[in-house]
Amino acid sequence: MQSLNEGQVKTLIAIECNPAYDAPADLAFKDALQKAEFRAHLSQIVDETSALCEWHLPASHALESWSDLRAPEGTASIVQPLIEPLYDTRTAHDLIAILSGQTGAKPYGLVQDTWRSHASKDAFEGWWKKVLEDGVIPGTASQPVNVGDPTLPEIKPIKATEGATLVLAADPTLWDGRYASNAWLQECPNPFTKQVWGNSLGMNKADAARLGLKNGDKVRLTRNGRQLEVPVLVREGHADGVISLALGYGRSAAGDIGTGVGVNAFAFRETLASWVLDQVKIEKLPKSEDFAIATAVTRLDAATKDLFPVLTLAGLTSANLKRNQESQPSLLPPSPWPGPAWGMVIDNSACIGCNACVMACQAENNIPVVGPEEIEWGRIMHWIRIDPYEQDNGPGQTRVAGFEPVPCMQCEKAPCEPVCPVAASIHDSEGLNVQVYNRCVGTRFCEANCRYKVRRFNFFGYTDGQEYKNLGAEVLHAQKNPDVSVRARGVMEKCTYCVQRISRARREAEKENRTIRDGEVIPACAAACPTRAIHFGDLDQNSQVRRLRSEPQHYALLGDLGTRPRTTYLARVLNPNPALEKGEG
Amino acid sequence: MTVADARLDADRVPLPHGRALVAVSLKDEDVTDLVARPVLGDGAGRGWLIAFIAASLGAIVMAGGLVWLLAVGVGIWGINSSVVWGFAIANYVWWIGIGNAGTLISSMLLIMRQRWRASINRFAEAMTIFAVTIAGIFPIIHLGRPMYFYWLAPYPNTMTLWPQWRSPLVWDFCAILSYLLFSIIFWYTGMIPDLAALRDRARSRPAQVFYGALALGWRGSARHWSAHHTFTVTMAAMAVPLVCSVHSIVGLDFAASLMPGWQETIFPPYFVVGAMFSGFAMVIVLAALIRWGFRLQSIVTIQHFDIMGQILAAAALIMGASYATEWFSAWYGGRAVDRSVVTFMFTGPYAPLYYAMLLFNVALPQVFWLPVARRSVLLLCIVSILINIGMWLERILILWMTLSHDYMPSMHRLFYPTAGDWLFLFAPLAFFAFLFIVFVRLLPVVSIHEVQALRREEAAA
Repeated sequence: MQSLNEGQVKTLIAIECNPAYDAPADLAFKDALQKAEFRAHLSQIVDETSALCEWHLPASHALESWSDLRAPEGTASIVQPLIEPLYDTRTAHDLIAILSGQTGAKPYGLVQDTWRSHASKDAFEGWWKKVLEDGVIPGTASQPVNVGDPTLPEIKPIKATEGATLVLAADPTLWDGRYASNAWLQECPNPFTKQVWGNSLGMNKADAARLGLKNGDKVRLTRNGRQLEVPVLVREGHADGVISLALGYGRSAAGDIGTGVGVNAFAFRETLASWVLDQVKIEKLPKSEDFAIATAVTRLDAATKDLFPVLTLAGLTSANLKRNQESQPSLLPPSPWPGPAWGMVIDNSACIGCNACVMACQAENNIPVVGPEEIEWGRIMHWIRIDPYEQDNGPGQTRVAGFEPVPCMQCEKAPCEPVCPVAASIHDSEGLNVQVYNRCVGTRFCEANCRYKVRRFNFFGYTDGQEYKNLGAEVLHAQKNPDVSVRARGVMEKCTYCVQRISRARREAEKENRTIRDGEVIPACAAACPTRAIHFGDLDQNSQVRRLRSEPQHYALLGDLGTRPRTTYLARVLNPNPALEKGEG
Repeated sequence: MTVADARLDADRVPLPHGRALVAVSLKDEDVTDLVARPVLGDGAGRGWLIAFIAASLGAIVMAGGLVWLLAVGVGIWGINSSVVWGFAIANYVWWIGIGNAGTLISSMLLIMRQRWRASINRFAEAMTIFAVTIAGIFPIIHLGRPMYFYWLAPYPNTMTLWPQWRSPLVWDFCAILSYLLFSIIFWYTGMIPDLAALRDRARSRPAQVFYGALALGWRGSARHWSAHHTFTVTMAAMAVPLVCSVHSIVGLDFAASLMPGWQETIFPPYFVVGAMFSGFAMVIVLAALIRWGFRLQSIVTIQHFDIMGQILAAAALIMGASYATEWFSAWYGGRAVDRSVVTFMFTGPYAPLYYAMLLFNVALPQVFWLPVARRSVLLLCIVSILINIGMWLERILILWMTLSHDYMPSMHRLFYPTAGDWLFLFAPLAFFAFLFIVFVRLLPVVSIHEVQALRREEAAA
């Protein structure tokens, strides 16, 4: 930085980074950057740094490049492209090769050369193909290092200071802002607050009451001469005097999607105080701002505790979660069909609320992005939603009790079916409630009658002529899954248990003259879940989902209403250390 | 005796049952004169023209709104993934409710031999037809794909599909269609003797042809009158169950669902009474306007308003009992979600509207226990307008309370109206006024032959 500021830098090349946006504010990088004589930026979009450079070099996406990378424990892997580059772009390898004089070198050759020493000249091609097939390069993991026995660090108590302490964190979906132009990630709800398309200042209820603030009120943060105006969102998990803000927002050059969304916390950050900033002054402003909140966070109390039961391991065997409702009478006739009976079991103990299932479902089923204004009006489009549940944790504080993913329950006695006037919501022989898009006239009675509110309506042509901003561009048509239709304006849609995947498995099984095996059909949400919380299968076979349904912690959401959902849950089971309960240790 | 004197006469002549329903000093020809003058005479005056222009502008705004809605989509309203039904459905129920009173006045009161209906039934039935027409627009335009609304009708098609009969919306389709057809037939056939009277009095050739064609060759013979009477009474006998069933089916749109706050067996009768309530309130306002505009004080008398005021007070009590039943059932049934909805009604963000509704629908109409209040046309009109507002609030709150606060707290969401919502609330009112203003210029606004019969009865009594 010193040479840059003194004007000693002749050429500055920025490779796939964005320091004009995310460098700490005290470096004044934007001004320093312009002191270099020649500036070029290799990046995917023309962003804040590109705007200040003389040349912007378009970079290839990782999915269309040859490269390599290392896992945290050292194992190396080759990055293989999935498609030919869509545009005339180059990778960082191309650039560095040109800069070092190897003008004709291609990334494929460069990557091979990096690893050529791992096999003899003749055996290299065979070795290379095996490495590409396996995905990892064997024997590249780092050796463990002996650091001795673990010891507790010595934490000196901090003197209490004036003002609040601001904790900055990378955003769960936009990370450091690099994904600000990704509409899916902008519309992916924050796991705890369910806010989309923006960030907010988090603080607990007691602090908000003390400062006279409620959700949406804007405050001005002041520290070391820097100021930041940001709206407040009262939320769980904050100690008294601690406020939080996510990085990655407030970008000024992130394309149609990401520009101007949220507040830029990087403008407040300093080199020596990059994650915890103390002595922040909070000043209430007479302004307020609306948030886009996808769904609400539910407080666990006497009325809502049945929606998210929390059990302890000690009390598990005596748990009486009588929510299987087979004993509930019904006026509707039983289903007479043979064949697979699809069911899903979601384990609340495993769910961490990460939203991978939400994103996977969006990718698999061509679910449109609706934009912040539509979310503010309450028109979410994600077929699966994750409901966070909070419980009291002392005066003025709450903490997360757990997360409950809610896809369509595929009820055996579905309330949405008898109310559709045109029979667009019907039941198939395998237990799925299917929505017939081309029959739907859009009365929305099905969503009115759904107890779980899992159906989604196309209030506008979100995929069909009234897309949000530039999301109707021609190139995005290639992203759509060809196995799933795109819904028109005025049509109701919902989770289908990835019926296209069931259909594919059925066709393969029929070709081979056998039944579908357990584990052969994996819906997109189950495939993406990192903790394997979602299980799917045939209830008529001796499958994993059937075994899970006989667990003592198994229950059906709103099971006493007699809808007989095929999507059921395993309650969250905790095993707290008795010493923790008493506040010791 | 002049018509002006006859107006005063109606208030002065003592009769066994109190004040007169029709001024007995009027002759048959005077009745026809009074009603025919605005239609066949020099026109209805400048006031009518101004009202016509204003209402036409409103009708144009409504047409523009329809084009906007059909082009852009139902997203122009404030509906969302939780509150999927908003102003459009509330408007639909409100307009059908208004329409019900016209049919009740024509048919039910005929069968119950309430002769006082004769002065008001013609424009009340016209009100019904226009209200049901407007109401019928909403279930079509609120669809996501309104061009396929006809799939709710049972017609032979290449898909070999019938509508899904268990859905109350299919019942709605049949009910409203039959109600509209019935109302048009009943209104028209009842008008035939009056159209013949206009045909006979018309001086211009186009008027003679117009009313002559509509009069279907009525000669006023004894056989014609006998057949007419039999037909009218038979239709009236069909109309009463029709009215009850139509609005019960509208109530079943909610009661046949499974949502808290909707799944109540009291909804069908509660909706029917509510419809009668709001409809009579609208009839009072229309009667006052027509009486004042066409100087019909001798035909539409204070006694009519007295009786209608009593009906309002009675219906308000029944509405109050219905609301109380909702609260009681929620508490007595013991289900947490029902009690939660009732608590939300009284303490949630919509609570001020709920209290306003209770004030307008239950508390204010109790003033009509006082005879002096019933005889003040101004007070009747003010309270009637407030009742109509209160009944609209009731419809929208039925939708909002349940859909905003049902089984899954994560999807609890409020409804915020948009400009499109307000447009579709007020523009149809202007369109209704437009239709009504055209009606009073073209057709006899009071049933001439029935008023003549009533006058003869009162004179003989």
